[in-house]
Amino acid sequence: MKPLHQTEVHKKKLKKNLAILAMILGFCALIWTITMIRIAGG
Amino acid sequence: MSNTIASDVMTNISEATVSDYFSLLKPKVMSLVIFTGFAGMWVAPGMAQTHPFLLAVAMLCLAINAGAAGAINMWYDRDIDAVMKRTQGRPLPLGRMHPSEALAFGIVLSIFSVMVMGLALNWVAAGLLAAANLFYIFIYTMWLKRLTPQNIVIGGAAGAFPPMIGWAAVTDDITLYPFIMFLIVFMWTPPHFWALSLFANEDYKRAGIPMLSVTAGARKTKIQMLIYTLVLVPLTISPAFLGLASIQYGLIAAVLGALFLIAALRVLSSDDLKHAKIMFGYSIFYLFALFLAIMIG
Repeated sequence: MKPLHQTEVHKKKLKKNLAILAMILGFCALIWTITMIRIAGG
Repeated sequence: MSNTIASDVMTNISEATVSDYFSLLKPKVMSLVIFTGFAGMWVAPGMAQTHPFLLAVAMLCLAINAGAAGAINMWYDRDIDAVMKRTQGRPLPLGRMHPSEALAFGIVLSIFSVMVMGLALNWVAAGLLAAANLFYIFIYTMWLKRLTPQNIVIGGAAGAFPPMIGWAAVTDDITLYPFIMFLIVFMWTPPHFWALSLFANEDYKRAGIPMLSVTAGARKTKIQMLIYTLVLVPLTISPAFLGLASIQYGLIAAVLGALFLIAALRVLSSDDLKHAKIMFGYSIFYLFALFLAIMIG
């Protein structure tokens, strides 16, 4: 039996979690940029 | 024992790939929304004074919101999608994704796009975006689509919002010109979808969707297509007469409209479904070309 971190289930979950992490970081960057532009009067 | 647990876990893990999530957003519909929304933004006074990044954010919100509404539509219509040839290959009928995942994806993206539009641009545009989203989901998908042959006539309003949203994102207001653009897409939708329903009639019949071609027959559908086209063409030329667009725009709209009218007449005068297919294809080109002319003119 394979260790948990090598199973297909784990790999799929890892991919999904990384995608969600990237989306959250992207969202933070987007909100920060919008805020900076609005503060500057854009 | 551990093998049983592992297989149970496997069945609960989504098989969906990134491309499955992307196809939930109905990218082809999204492209039309982006284009008409951009045209509304382009002709709005004050576009040059708006920060380009914020304009890009507005387009992103418009695209994501349309996609999110499409994802919720696919969640709700997964039963009829499974019996229609045209939609059988979607991720939900194929069982590649759990329905609740598609629903959650759609809801999260809908809220995200409206909130970001409000924060980045203004709350008039955000309100219109929310209205388009809710109209498409509740009025069209859940109420009208399975109820009446007028489903795409009234439901078509949802797809007509983007030029108004684009305009409002720049001006924080709605005037006559964006409303005319709304009406153009609104009047264009019935002949466009009825052309599709003529050659996909068996599909709609099997799924029990009361499209006009199913309930009233091909002849009456073709007459209705011609009537809507006859109203649409003068409407597309009207901005030139009202001084909102140039005479060159009016000429282009007249030529494009005449071709659309010819396509509708050919559909009416023939039983060959190839004319309906031609009209469907031309209707997509027509809307793109017309909004391109609006941007230039």
